[in-house]
Amino acid sequence: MKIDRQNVVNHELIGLHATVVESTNRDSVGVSGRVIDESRNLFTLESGGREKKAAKHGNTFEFWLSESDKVRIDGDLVVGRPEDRVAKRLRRWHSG
Amino acid sequence: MSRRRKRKAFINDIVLQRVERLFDAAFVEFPAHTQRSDRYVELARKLAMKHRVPLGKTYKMRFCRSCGAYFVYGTNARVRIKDKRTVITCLRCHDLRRY
Repeated sequence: MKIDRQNVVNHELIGLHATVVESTNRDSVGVSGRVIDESRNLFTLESGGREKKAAKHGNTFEFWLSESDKVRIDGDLVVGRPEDRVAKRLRRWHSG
Repeated sequence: MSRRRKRKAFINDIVLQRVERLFDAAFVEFPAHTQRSDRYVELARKLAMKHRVPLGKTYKMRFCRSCGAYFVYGTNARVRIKDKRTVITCLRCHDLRRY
């Protein structure tokens, strides 16, 4: 099955475009770019040749699955090493 | 199918899709950022190892098992056919594999 709203949390986020839409830190809102790397606690985004790091905890991201399909994910749901996320089970989760 | 088998099938499917995405990204990034390509290979391997999913010959031939370099044949890897086997040589670490 392709990447979709149900399995975003388990799927590969590197290569997707992401934007911080909500944050506990006002200055983080609006940080945007293509995901180029991921660690346990943060994403590295690239935009216009510049790299920015966005923490997972405390931020809500909007990922672009396609031009028309965007999904909001609470960063705390994706905290964890990328290889660990694939087995994560979710009962209920934030989606937008 | 039992619940455990369904779960394993789900995980395997996701892992293989993610591996494919990572290798595609590695190819795209290679011209400008070779280190990123190598990092994506590393992530793909970790994914497969952690969840015990075999990569498959197509993917195994696309990176160096010794130094982890992502291969773009002709640029950082030499591919030859010898005695009916394909021989891939990493031009970075000179490791050689026969398939």
